[in-house]
Formats: sequence, C-alpha cells, structure tokens
Amino acid sequence: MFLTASKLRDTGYALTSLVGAFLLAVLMVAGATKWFPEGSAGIDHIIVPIVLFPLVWIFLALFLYTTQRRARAWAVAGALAIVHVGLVAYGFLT
Amino acid sequence: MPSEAERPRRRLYKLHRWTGLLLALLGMLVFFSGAVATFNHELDRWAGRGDSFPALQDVPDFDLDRAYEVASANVNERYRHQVDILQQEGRPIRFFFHEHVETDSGIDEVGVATALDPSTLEVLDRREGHRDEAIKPRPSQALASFFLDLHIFLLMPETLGLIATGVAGFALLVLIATGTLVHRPTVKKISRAPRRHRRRLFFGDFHTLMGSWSLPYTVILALTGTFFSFAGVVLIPAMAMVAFDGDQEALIRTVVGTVDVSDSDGVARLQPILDDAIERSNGAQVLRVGLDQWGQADANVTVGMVTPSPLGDEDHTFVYDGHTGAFLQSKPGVGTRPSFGNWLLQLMADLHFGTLFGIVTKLLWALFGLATCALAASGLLIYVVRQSDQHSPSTRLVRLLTVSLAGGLPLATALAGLAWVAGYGLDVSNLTRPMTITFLLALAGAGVVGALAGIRASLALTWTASGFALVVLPLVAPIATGVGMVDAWADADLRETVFVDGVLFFCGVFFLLAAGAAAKSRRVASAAAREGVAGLQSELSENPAAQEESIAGE
Repeated sequence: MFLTASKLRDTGYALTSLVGAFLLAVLMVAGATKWFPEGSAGIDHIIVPIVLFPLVWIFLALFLYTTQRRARAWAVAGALAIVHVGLVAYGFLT
Repeated sequence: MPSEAERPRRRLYKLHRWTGLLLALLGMLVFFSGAVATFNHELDRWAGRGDSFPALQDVPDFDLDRAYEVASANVNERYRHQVDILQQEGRPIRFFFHEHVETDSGIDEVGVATALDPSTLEVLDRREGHRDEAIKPRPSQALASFFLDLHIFLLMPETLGLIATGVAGFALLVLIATGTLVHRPTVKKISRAPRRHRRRLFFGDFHTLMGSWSLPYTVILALTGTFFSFAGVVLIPAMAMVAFDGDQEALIRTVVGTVDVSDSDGVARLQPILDDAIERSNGAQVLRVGLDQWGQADANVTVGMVTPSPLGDEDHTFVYDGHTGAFLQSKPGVGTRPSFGNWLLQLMADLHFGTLFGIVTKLLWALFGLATCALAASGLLIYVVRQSDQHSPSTRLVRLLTVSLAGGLPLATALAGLAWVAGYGLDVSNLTRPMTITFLLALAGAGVVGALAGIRASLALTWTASGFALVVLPLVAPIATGVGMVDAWADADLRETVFVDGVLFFCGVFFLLAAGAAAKSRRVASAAAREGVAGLQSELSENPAAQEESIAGE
C-alpha cells in the first residue's frame, strides 16, 4: 500500500514541526520588538528580528523534526512561546 | 530495529527527498526567472531602446516647477499632498499625485499619474486609480517586468504569490540544511569529476558537486528570498499589531524615517532643490523626487539619485525643507541616521539582487542561479533513474516534471520573448497576457513531450526549439523596439544594449549544441542497448548453459 499508517504519522509529524516552527518564529519575531535594542536610529528592534526570521524558523524546524527527545524539544518550544506571548500581551497592554 | 525518532539521518534524507520533489516546480521557476531578472535593468534597456527620452537633468532649460504645473492641472486637491516624480533611464517623467488608503491587504496608494515628455513637457499619458493601474508601464517595459513578476509572484495574485515564493525559499533552506547533513560535502567530493560509467552514479556525483559548489549562493538566496517574501505579508503586520497598535503605516514611517521639519507656511521651488541635489551628488542620475505633506505644515522633499558604476551603483538620498527649499540632511535608505539595521537591510538587498560588486556579482549570481536549476534537474533525474518500474505513474510524473522544467523553461522564456515582440508589433494593450499564456503553454507542451518520449529525446527536441527561438529573438526584436542591432551599435547611448543581442544569440547556439549532444547520447544509448540485446541473443543461442542462467536470473 502506498500510504501506510507509519508514513502518515511521519508526514504528520514533519508538517507539525514545520508549521509549529513557523508560528513560533513569527511569535518570537513579533515579541522581539519588546526586548531587542532599538539602536541609534530607533529601528534595529524592527529590522533585525525580521531579517533573522528565516534563520529562526529553519533552526526551530530542524530542532523539532530531528530531535531524539521530542517531549523535551516541544517543552522548550512551549516555553519560548509562553515567554513571547507574554511579551506580545505586554505590548498590547502598554 | 531502532525507531524513526532514533535515526535522524534517515529522517533527514526522507525530508530532503520529499521537499526536493515538492519544491522542484516552484524552486526552478523562482531560480530560473531570478537568473533572468538579475539582468532586469539590461533587459529593460534593450527592450526600451526605441524609447529615447533624455534624462531630465540633460534637458537644457528644464524647469521642474513648470513640469509640476503642467502635470498637476485638474488634479483633485486631495491627491496633491503626496507626489512622486519618477524617471527611469530613457523613459518619460511620471508624476503620481496620490493619497494613502487602507485596504484589506494593507496600505494602498490611489491617485492620478501623468507622463510627460521631459523635452517638450507634452502630456503623453494620464490615468487614475491604484498605483499599479495609474502608473501603467510602457509596452517596452512589459518584457523585463514579466520575468520580475514571475520571480516575485509566480504569476499569481500579489499576496498569494509572495507566500508561495516565501514557502519556496523556506523549502530551499530545508533542502540545504538536510542536503548538507545527508550528503556531507567533503573536499574529496567537491573536487571529484562525476563518474561517467553509470547513469545513477553520474547524476548522484553531479548533484553533490553542484550542490556543494553553489551552497553559499543558495544559502544567501534562500535566506534573503524568504525574508523579502514574508516581510511584507506576515512579519510587518504581526509587528505592527504588537508594537504599533496594528497601524502598519506608522511602522513603515518609523522604519523609513521622517526628517523633522519645523511647521511653516509657503511652498518651496523645486528646480533649485533639484540643482542642489545634482551638485551635491556630482551629477548623479535623478530617479525620484518625493513631495511629502506637500503644501502642509511639515512639508518636505526627498531626492533619490544614483551614480552608476560597473562595480556597484552608489545611491544618494537628500532631504529638503518643503517651505524654504533648505537642505536638511543626507538620509540613509531606512531611518534618519546611519544604523546597524540600515546596513543589514542594504546588505540583504545587495546579496539578493547580486549588486554587491556590480556586474561581477550579477554575472556570478546568474550563473549560480542556472547551476541551481541544474542541481534541481539532477535531483529529479536521480529519482527517475532509481525507480525500478520506469513506467509507473510516479516515475512518469517526475519525468514529465523534469522535461517540463529542464527543457520547458528555456523554451517558455524564449517563446514569451517572441510573444512580447508579436504583441508589441500588433499593438496589444495588455502584453502580459499573451506572454503568460505562451509561457504556460510551452511549459505544459514540454511536459507532454516528456511524458510521451524518453528524457533524452524530449530534451533534444525542446532544446532545439529553445535554441532556434533564442537565435531568432534578436533578429525580430526591431519589430517591437524599432531599433535594430546595427542602428543600436551606431548610437553611442544604445551601444551597450547590443550586448543583450549577443547574449541571446550565444544562448541560442548553446542550446542547439546541447540538443545535438542530447540527441547523440540518445543514439549511442540506443545502439548500445541494441548491441547488448543482439550480443545476449547470440550468446544465448551459442551457449545453452548461459540461457538457463539468464532465465534463473530473471
């Protein structure tokens, strides 16, 4: 059979890693406006995180996909998400 | 047996193979059109050599204030506070009077665009609407902008196209990371010529060799391309929501940087500002004069210029007070003072567009772009060669894709160029449409040939057609441009455009030679196969023991 349960599980995990990493990377870039230094022209906190976005995404995606300790990897991703959700929420409140 | 989670290299290989198969179409379209678009400026000059409007600073007694007066006649008052005055090399001056409006997809600019002849100030064209509708490109601009749009939007609607190219960029990052970890390029691997005695080994060695040598280029292009695609559609809205209460215009204003102008009355004269900017830049070419908040309390004027150089153009941006015309400051690309962010953004642009060291990096980028296409094609060929059943639907599909891309892309590009010539000659109002239809039909046609015939025969056929089309293109181009190679060579201002004729002709000859090689290789392979079968039959008839062995083997 072309699509076995194991293949479906693998594909599902690969997609979850890639999409999960994308969402976390967007959250981290948005949250970074609150902690990254503004620089002399007051724009570095916007530009640098956007430029670094592809690197953050690929690093997170490979980390989540290739890890041998999935639970720990997703816990780290969850912690990063919580910190940046906090920063984003702080942005809305202030 | 170890579980999947315990074998990262095997998982990486699977991810590499499937991402490669899925990325092949989008990735090759993006890289091939990107390689063509690297010479967008040169192609645009070649296509527009029939347009010979002088640069505004070269027109004796040119007066920008008088030009403004002519262009702004009957323009609605609400559009007069934001004005862009633009001129591309050899083209008319365009005034775009506009206002910013919020739409579902972000900020848009709506207004009136007027094109003027810089010598006579005659109004050549006048349109109202969104920026893209109002500033309608001249027919000569359709050729270069087609390949640029193909590269950026993949012929899709704007937002969807940017997401698609962004996903392609990210998929390329995945391919690079997994490919490096799986193939592990070593000095030995990257210095070894591909082994020719077996097709499977040859394609494998070629793939590793191409992938290793083009690695720095593909990393740079994947990172910068993903950034450029996703920045506008995902990241800027997300950041605006967090840091600017959802106001994207406020974010863009902060990044671009607004120079403080003291509130005052009066309107500055434009020509003295232009004269000052030309003097400050030692005679650079004027690209844009932007009037911001014009006629209002904080009016200012920004003059954007470029000093062309073979080893990298030099940009200049000067800001003036919109009331007194006084020089305020020289401005970086983003922000109002030099910063790490501006340096990083400039570096991203130079790396992506290949303008870091002018023509040297542009040539290198185009060659690496084509090498990346060869990398993708060899990856597809590896898949085809490794399949035990050459007639299975998946093998046929990948073979179709391989021919559609490796043979179809050059053919589609050349035929789109011919469609541009024909459309221009027949005075077709929207030249993008016939070019798009021709391009897609050529890709599909090549794919059909690939599905019906073998790879070598299909490539020989499509490369022959590409070669003829590319050789013919410079010969028929005067139908559109009105200026042939000989006339262009005789005109000192247009002489450089003959280089494009030469490149097209050279590419045509290259594809004809490649087609000849593919056809010869097909004949050799067929003869070898026939000899192999004949030899085996003769051996079997003479040696019954060998016959038994052969049957046992089957």
